Amino acid sequence: MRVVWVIARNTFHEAIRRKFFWVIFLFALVAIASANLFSGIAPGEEKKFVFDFGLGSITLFGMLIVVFLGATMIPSEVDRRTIFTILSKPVRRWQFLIGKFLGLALTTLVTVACMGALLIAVHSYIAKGLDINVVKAVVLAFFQLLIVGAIALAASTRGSLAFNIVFAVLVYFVGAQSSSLLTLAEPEKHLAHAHTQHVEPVSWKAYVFRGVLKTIYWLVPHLDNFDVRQAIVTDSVVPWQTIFNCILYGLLYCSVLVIVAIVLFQDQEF
Amino acid sequence: MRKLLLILSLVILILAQGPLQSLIYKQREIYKLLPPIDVLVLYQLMPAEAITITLVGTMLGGFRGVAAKMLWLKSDEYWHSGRWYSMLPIMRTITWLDPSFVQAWDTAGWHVAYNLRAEAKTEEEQDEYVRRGCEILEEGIRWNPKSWQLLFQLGWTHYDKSGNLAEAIKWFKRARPLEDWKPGDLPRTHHMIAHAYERLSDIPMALKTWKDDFKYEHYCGANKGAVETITERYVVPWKLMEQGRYEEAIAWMDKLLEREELRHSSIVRHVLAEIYRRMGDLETAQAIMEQWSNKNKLDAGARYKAKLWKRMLEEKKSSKGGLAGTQAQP
Repeated sequence: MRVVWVIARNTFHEAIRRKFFWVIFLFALVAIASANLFSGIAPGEEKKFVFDFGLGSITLFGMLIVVFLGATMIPSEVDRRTIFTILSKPVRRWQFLIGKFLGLALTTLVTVACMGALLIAVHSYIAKGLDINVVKAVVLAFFQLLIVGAIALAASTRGSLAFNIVFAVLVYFVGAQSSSLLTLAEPEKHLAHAHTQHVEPVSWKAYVFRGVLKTIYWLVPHLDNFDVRQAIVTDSVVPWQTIFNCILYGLLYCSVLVIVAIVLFQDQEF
Repeated sequence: MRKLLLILSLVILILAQGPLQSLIYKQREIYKLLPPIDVLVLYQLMPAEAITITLVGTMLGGFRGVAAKMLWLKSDEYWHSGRWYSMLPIMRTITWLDPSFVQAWDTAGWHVAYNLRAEAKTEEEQDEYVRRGCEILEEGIRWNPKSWQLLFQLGWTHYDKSGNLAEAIKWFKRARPLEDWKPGDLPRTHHMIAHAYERLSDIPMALKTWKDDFKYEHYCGANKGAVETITERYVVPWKLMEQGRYEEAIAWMDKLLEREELRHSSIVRHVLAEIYRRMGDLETAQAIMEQWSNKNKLDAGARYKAKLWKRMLEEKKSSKGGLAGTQAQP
């Protein structure tokens, strides 16, 4: 356990020494802090705008940080040949990978906590009080980014740097819209839900197309589980039960990805 | 062996994910947390276009709201340059990007039901624009069920344009118990329910609604005046009608029509038509409404009733092979 913690701590220190990390992180902080300056384009909806813009900044810039960190994690160790030194010591490969993942999680936690605290402060100033829903949204954003980081880390055990980045970003985009894939795959269900009776017969091409969409839906992480923006801007309730289930889902998915990464990393020859 | 264990745990975790995801999806449906994609619009599009929209929306991610506000400014430019038809796709894009943007739904629905309707050449086209405007507002309400502004606007569009007064009352009533009132919203909604009941010719409900209004506004010239007027003019003929004394009720209404101040009154015509309808003389009732809607283009309720009853008469005619006995009165 001590070995894992040492690797995690080193990964964190290494991450915050990177220049790109600070560039993206500071840019995100400036964007969140200045959200109120742009709220003039939505008169009367300043509170909503600040939240929407601030959370958008956290997820977008947070995604860039975790993807770049996760994707460079193993390739950079190989390039610098430090991986040979580490693995020649009494460190097992799974310990190394779990340590790397925990280091990435710690970096993500600190990053999201800082950006989230700033968003909560700016939003509370505009709304003249703390809105617990904003805190919930920030917590969910952290778990969403954690999954993205785990994807990048799993990819980095085998792929090149460019592949890892492109792969993680693509999975993020598709995952963030996964429920729309289901909607496209099962339109009748949703049309029935919308009280519409008109349903066209399905051709074989559409049938195959829907099959592909459904397969993608079950393969990609459902990152839109963590998006509660719609409910918050309409002042709806985001129940704790949903938050808890989403966190559980995030942890489960991260576990799957870390195990995949370990399996891929076990036989990797350098 | 170690690898086998890893793969086994992987399978277990993947299997555990399925039921958890189904549970989350159900909760997201219940609490309206699903992403803002209009499935009906998507279904009407080719899959490739639908996917493009979905992906572009995702790439905008958290900045959907910002993009929507920018487009809103653009639609304002179009408005001032008179490009009314070009405004509609922009407004639909705005509502798609940011379904919580109430003002955009409100303006889009109003724009279609009023401005584009005014540009339409035939009556069928006009009705189609009003229907589409109402659909946009209903869609907006599905996303913003607590918005007084949208509920009231839909009620008003039915009252003022489609003429379906029962629908107008339904939406006005849904707007009534909301908590996000601005000063004046409550009496405005309450008065509109009463006005809709008057034109629907449900005199007891109109009277009750105006009387209930006292609870909300202790002193208001409108409610006091309405109660007095309805009691003086319509309560007696209504009671006569309920007792089956139709001729006396009609005679009372004819006397009202002779009064100078009621020469342009809609309610008198609506009540008179209702008496004829209940008497079983739908043809005369329809003729009264048609004549009045030709004279007063602003009374959408009269136009709606005239059309509806005309259709009913035609159906009756075709099923019975003609009506006998009843003659339309001018």
